[in-house]
Amino acid sequence: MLSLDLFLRLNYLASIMLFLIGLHTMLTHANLIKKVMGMNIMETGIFLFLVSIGYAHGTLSPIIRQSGPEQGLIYTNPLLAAIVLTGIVIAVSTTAYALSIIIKLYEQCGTLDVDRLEKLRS
Amino acid sequence: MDHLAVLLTVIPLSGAFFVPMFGREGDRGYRVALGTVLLTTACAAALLVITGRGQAISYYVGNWAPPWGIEIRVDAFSAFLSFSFSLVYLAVIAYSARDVSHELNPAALRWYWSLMLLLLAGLLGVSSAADLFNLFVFTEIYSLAACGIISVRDRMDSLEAALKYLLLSAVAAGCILLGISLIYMVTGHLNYAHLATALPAAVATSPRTVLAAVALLATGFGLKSALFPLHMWLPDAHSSALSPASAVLSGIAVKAGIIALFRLFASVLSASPAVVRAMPTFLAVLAVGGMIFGALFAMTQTDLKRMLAYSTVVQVGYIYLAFSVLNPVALTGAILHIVNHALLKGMLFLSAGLIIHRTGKRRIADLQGIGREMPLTMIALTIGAMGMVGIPLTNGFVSKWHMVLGSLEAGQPLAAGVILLSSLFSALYYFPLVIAGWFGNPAAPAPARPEAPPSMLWPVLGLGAVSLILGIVPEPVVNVLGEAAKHLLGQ
Repeated sequence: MLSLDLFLRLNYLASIMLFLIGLHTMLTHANLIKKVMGMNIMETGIFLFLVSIGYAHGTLSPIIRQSGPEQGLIYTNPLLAAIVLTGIVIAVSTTAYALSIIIKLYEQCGTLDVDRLEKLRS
Repeated sequence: MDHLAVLLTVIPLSGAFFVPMFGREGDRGYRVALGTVLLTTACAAALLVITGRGQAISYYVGNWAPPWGIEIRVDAFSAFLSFSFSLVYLAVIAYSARDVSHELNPAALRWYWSLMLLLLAGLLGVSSAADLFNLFVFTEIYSLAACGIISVRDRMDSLEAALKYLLLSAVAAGCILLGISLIYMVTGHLNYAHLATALPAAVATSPRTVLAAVALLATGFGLKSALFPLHMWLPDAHSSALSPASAVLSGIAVKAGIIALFRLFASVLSASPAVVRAMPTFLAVLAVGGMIFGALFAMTQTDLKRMLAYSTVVQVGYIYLAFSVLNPVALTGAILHIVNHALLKGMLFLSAGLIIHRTGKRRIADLQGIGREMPLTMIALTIGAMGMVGIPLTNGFVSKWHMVLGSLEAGQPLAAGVILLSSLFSALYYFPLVIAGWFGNPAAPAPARPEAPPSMLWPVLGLGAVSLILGIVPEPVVNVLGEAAKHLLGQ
């Protein structure tokens, strides 16, 4: 029973793991591109989490039907899908902006390594 | 009249859109920006008058009532903050007209005005948001705009500082969003008022989830507001930006995280004391750390703007410490200090900008006798330094006085002692600057026309005048804030 329970909630476990992997990549890797990738992995983890809490097994898509046998059934929460969409927009713009700064830094310094940038600076 | 609440963010947001459209040539971008900020200030002033009568404005976007619609809420606390932030912004924009055009090429200049307005929109949005997700969106708007303002300078150190800030604020955003989703998971609400009613039941069934959510939110907003030890992005970011941008970033942008946490505590978490009890102690410890280490770092800096940036870390510590005693008088001091620090640090960064603009000197050691060359600038710098230390008759004294008084009233003499001790520390790094500036011997003879042009000087002196007025007649403001503080603490 426990294994079934865990299997049904695998998405929660996966989202937290993605979050931690992303965070770890962001904070420990010296390469700027890898940091941005870590940021994206972390955000994907959060989005998976958000979508998971709005979904339960056997729920319907949140569209109101004129007639049909669905009376009394539960709908998936559409609010979280909207939130995830907004979150994705923010994540995309952050990524685009971060990559554009990285390009400029690479043009000026010729390196993507944080430690070397730090040395160039001082 | 209710529309004023949403116009407060819509005006700067549309200004940010119109600047790149109409501000292509000459100083038109500046004029659009100045007009927008003037309108915003007028809007905030009207809101201040309305909310000063004791009624808060709740605006339902699209006329859909919560829990489904988005609510924007302006009370005395957010109206007062919005008004004072717009005032500082007015001075900074007026100052930027002459200073920034030397540093940036015309194309970048246009984006500078646009980003400044976007930053203002995000900050005012944070102070008037009434649901968690709106808060998150506005937090991201202001963070991205702040990074943009730093990187608009297009130099290696600015770019690196902007990237560091961007990545760390992405970590903060991740924490905030995860915290929000945890809270939504256990309560099913995002609106503050509905959360406050649903949270006690959620705390009873799943206390650990709520605690984790609160911890994530505190980490996220703590990082955004440079709470020690999450402050490492701040000195680089604020010292490598353009001087007027530093004034806004250090004076105002850092406060958005604090305002968000205040609001969350006040309108949501105060309903469930079990969660709240753990947090202030935790915040207080970090705040004291920031006050001590920030001061130590500030003392060792040789660069004027870096020193000012570390001083911001110290002042953020003050605000968090005064907040953590959860006493209306101390909270009045904390809110007042948010505004005072915005005025003073804005003025300090702008006067540093004047010195850099006219003489090119950034190192504190080079500022010997600068007061003889630029007396008016030095007067502003002195008022700022006195206010930071908390000398009577400056506004810094009033807020620190209330913080100490509130801490004693709440039975926490230790907090009061730390505040007094840290003021002494501030004197150790601000007074040498003032003494050297007035009484030091300049290395080279003074140039013929050293003082900055009046169009750059009057915004700085205007901020100084406001600081002095707030210091000499604080009663009206303190009375309004006292009510707001009681309301925030639910008393």
